[in-house]
Amino acid sequence: MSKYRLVLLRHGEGAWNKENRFCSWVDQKLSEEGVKEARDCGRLLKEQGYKFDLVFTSLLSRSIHTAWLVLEAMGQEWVPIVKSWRLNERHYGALIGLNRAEMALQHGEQKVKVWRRSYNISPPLIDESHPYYMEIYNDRRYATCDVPKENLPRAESLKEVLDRLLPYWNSTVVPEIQKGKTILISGHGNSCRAILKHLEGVSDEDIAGVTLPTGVPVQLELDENLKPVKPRQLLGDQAKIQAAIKKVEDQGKAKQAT
Amino acid sequence: MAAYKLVLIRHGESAWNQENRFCGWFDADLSEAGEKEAKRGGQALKDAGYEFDICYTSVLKRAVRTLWYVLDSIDQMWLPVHRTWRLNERHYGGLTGLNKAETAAKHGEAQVKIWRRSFDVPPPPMDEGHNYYQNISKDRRYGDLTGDQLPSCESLKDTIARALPFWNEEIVPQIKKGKRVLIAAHGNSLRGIVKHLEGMTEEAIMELNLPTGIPIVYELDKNLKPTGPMQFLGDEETVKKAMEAVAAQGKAKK
Repeated sequence: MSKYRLVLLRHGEGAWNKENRFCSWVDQKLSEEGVKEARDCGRLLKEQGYKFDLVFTSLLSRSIHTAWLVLEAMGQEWVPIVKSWRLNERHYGALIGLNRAEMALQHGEQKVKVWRRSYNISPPLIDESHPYYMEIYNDRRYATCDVPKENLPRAESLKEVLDRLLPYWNSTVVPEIQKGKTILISGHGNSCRAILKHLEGVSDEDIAGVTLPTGVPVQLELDENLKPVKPRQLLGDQAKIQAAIKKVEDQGKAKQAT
Repeated sequence: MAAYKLVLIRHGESAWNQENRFCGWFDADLSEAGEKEAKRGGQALKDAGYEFDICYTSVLKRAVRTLWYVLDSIDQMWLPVHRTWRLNERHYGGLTGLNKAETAAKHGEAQVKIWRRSFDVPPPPMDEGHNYYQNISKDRRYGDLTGDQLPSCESLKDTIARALPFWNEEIVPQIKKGKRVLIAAHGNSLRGIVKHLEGMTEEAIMELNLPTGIPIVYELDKNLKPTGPMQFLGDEETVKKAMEAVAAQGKAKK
């Protein structure tokens, strides 16, 4: 019997998604398309009668902006938003800023798939020589985290994402769910996958096959032990959802030379 | 020597301002002009290089969205934001939804003058028969308020009385910890803070209409006393106009 309801949302397109580049901790803004995706998502959630009590986002602007647009569409701008680095996108280390298609051409689709979809293989660490290193680590927001800046990740596997997300989930999100609050998590592809892996008990092998489309709300219904009582539901027009899933999967494939 | 800086911003034009209606706790959205005002205010803060650590706003969208425009402009969307009903606009009770002409027709010019000029006389309450009663008093966002806390109407005195505890208990400790605070709110809730900071009389605060969409900066000493008058941020012409408008208010004939 479903006791709690939770919605996960992967933010919509940013400029780098369009260029197929690993964005990760670079603070990209939503593209015009991404803004539209967020608004459409908000309209859908409003039509379905959702009344949120609390929203969680990462420290990255695209997840926050998505939350704002969703709340605006629903007339729920007054709902509190709590932000944490622990919901940030997976840290792609030295691969940040690289184009997925070029990488697939250079290293092969398989290696890229491994980096993107394996559970415990981390990409190479980012270091000071990386063009985006300063932009990330000099940013003031990372001086406000609950770990010192020097202890923040320099690269992550999906396992490492869950390792830093789970304590926050347990200490901060779960108590709110248990109070009966209707929660929206406005997150990223991999932070959402990590949450799903944890809640649904997806194996290390199977999580590779889980693809979350952008801008599509994922509804979870949980029992009093926070175990799902039914499969996750992607809300909205099912044809659109399939197209969105395909779009994400195609990003991993090498582009043919034109 | 200023120990702290505080920035206030009053939201700009709402859809109901356009229609000259008493808005209060009705959750009217910003008009297009109001959105422009917010963006311009954000740009002024960006140009002046302001950084904040924490933000406060009300639970009304015209203030929240003003804050969002500002945070977007200054690229600080990641800042923690606390929303509170205590920073809401004054509750106009039974007058909510009426335009100025309707109000005069319904209550008479003399009564309207009293309400406008009084610090502590509230407008008539919003009772269950009021067409906005369900929309406002029964709104989910006020679900945690006690019977004593949820107003059916407010005088300016009442508004200030419920805003100041939040200022004292939540905002002041943050300022004293050295956090740089931004407050995006409404004409009357901000009047409460200004009256308190400057030690203004009831008459004086009623004369003061804070400009909209323009960041208002206070430099405060370690006891949170302003070291000078409020400053406005913006291009030269905007600031000049705002200062002149404020100066003229005290002299305006009623």
